[in-house]
Amino acid sequence: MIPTPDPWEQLLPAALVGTARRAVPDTPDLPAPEAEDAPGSTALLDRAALAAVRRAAGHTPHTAEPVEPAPEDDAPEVGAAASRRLAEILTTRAALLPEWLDLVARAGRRVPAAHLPTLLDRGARDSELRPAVAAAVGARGHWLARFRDTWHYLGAHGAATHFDPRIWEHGAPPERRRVLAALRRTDPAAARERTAEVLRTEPVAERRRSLLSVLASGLTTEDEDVLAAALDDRAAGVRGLALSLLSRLPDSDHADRLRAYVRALVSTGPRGEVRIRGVGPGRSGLLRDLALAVPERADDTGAARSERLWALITHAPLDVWTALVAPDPARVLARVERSRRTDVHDALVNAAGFQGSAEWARALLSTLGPDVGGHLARATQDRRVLQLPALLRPLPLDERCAWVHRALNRTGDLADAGYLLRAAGGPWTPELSVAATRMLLNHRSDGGYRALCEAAAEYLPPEHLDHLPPDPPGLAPEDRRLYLDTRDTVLFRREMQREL
Amino acid sequence: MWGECRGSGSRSYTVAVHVDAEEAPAYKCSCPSRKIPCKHTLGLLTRWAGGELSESEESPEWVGRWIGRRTAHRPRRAAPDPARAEATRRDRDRAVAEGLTELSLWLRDQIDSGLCEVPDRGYAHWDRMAERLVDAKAAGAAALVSELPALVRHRDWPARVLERFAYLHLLAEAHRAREHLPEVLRAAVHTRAGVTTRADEVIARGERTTDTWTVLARSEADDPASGVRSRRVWLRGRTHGRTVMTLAHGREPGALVPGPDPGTGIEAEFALYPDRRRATEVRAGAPEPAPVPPGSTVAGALDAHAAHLAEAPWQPASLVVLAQVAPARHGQDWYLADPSGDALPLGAPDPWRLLAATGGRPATVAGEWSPADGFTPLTVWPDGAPAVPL
Repeated sequence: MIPTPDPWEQLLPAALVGTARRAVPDTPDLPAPEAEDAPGSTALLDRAALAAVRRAAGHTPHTAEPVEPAPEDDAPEVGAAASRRLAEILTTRAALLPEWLDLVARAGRRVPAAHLPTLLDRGARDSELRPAVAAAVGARGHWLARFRDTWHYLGAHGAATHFDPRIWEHGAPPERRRVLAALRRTDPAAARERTAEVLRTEPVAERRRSLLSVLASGLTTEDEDVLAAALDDRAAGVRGLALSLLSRLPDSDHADRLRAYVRALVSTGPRGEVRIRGVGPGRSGLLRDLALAVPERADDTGAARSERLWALITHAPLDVWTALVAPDPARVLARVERSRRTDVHDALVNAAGFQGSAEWARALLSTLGPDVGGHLARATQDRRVLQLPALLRPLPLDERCAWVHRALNRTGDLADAGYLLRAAGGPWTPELSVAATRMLLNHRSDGGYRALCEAAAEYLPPEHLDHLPPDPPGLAPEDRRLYLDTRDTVLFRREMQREL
Repeated sequence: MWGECRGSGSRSYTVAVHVDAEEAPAYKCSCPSRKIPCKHTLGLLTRWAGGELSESEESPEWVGRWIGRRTAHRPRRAAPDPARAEATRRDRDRAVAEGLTELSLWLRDQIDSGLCEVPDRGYAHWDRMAERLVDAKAAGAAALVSELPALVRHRDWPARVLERFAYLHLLAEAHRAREHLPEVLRAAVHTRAGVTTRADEVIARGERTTDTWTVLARSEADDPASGVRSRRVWLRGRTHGRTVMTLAHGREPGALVPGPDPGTGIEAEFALYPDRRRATEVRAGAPEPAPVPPGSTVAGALDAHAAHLAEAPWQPASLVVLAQVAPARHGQDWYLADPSGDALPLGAPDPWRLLAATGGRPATVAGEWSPADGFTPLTVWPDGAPAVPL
């Protein structure tokens, strides 16, 4: 059979040149024109119209491969009220999204399927939101995220239900990470071996980093060899991750080496002063252990030295300081401060937060306690480190709230109060909540009320709503508006909790 | 209804609401708020809704004065004079016919001299023809012409321009033969040319159809040039299977009431436009849950569009309901495939909401099929779950 030529392809050249110069081609495939003697242009338009409508009406089906469906979700979707609440949060109250997602995950539910693309987009823009997104989107959300590059971050959170060697060999990067995470739970040593192999063979740095991060759960000193090998990786991201994992292993050889570097740099003088030398560029072992690139030329400026010292103090176990300088953290800090080494003092504050040491955090917080406001003001003025949230985080909730409660009593500045209340994190204890509501209602001074309101809106447990009257007396108009907004948000959060 | 509201100040506010069968409710309140209706008015309405207001024969003088002013300002609707209406219709029909005859000549000139001259034409060339058609009251045909400069910018402009010329030619020819066309096709010609039918005419004279309708889909679009928002809603009768579409326009943000949600059902009577597809609501009950509408295969949907083209060849797209279709891929492109493996390419900006709602499982999907732009999913009935508007 001779294929009939497409009439459209025949008509187009004639139309381009013009029927004044070229005859209308024969189109045997189309029904014969009714008027044989029509002028060329009319005949061509007649046939083009036939061909166009016939083409639209004669569209034939395509073929395509259906995608593999999402696995069944064990967690049920949230109810209709919570679903409407989510729509409102996404459009007007984005600040409450983390809390809502957290409530969903705690209730063992998952977000409504229709909202998944929007949520995954939010997570793509805001990395802090990702763990909460990952915990609330269910199997459907993880399935959906595979189809779009910008959503692949989700693979870095959560684990598959079981290790599937087929996916490990042939799956997309996020799926491989999820099955490796599953293996890490059931057979940590096997997961470690596979990670070691990935570090040797995987050419893409981001994939090496992503798979190495699986070791973070269930980390033990047995993982040290793999992590130490990763310190020699050519990608800075992989080295940095290996270092941060190693610094969670105080019993490792790596930790011992860092302690030794500190001992070599620190000495105590006759009057109890502490002398600390900078770290020169020639220490290749030290640089490797701190995941720092070896400088190409002798990079021996003061700034480079103190940067290296900062990295060393941040990662070396803090117990080396109590062994070396003074028996307890408070006295170590006092002696460092007396020796006019504010840089070292700041590095130790930073290290206490980074390493999550409750003992050091307590020591630091007790030195700050009597004059929190002054410390906050001086820290801002001198651009020094005072990471209250990082120092409070290692402490249990009750202790954290109790410390903030005491500190609140000693500060008259509402902006500081807002900062302290935020640093306490949530959920506040009843005592702290009562103190915060009292401050909200007895506002007489000027400035800072907004910071206080924002902290209360975010962290005040909704059951304290009853302590916030709808029409409090004695607030200036602007403050009254802030107060009512805050109350409104707490009310919104209470509804949100009731629906989940 | 009227009332007085004691506020925080010394004077109380006088509030009144006029509910009237012919127009939207009107509100009056002596408070200084710029919100209409203000909170005092809403309070009055709440009490009215709760049956807390007592009926009265007499109304205060200020209420009477206000109502009187309102009715005096109302434009008097002239009683339609059938003879005059018919004369207007004929005048208009003649004007359109003249415009389309000119269009026909213009098209033949273009084809005679060849499309290769098209890219060198300035806007004025196209605008002249479009303006002529607007003057001839053929705004629909004018719109088709004024889109031509945009078509010329495409890489495959010769095919697109020739196709548009062909459709315009078909419109002009069909209008010339309008007296001999079946009624539905004639209606399509008038609609495409831009002859509109007023809703009150449709309600007065159009064919009526009553059924329990399932809301298949809703789609909204903004026209950035005019600032007008338009909303189309498609409904399918559960007893007789007819699919109708309602179209509403609004300029203000709140002017378009959302209407029934896709997936719900309403008991309603519609009046049909002459094309027997567009309809306007005569009366409707409250929305209630509806079963999943029956759908077709991909081949069935293509047939339905072909049948639609036979009645309205200028129609770029048809609403179709596909049963048992699942998201599918070919290379980087997304499709909806039925159990036989037949598939339609997806045309919407991205497939993610469809994918999320179905989870990759077969579902019933209502959407618009256009051979040029692909399938735009509008509503999904996932297996065992309520409808999800996309």
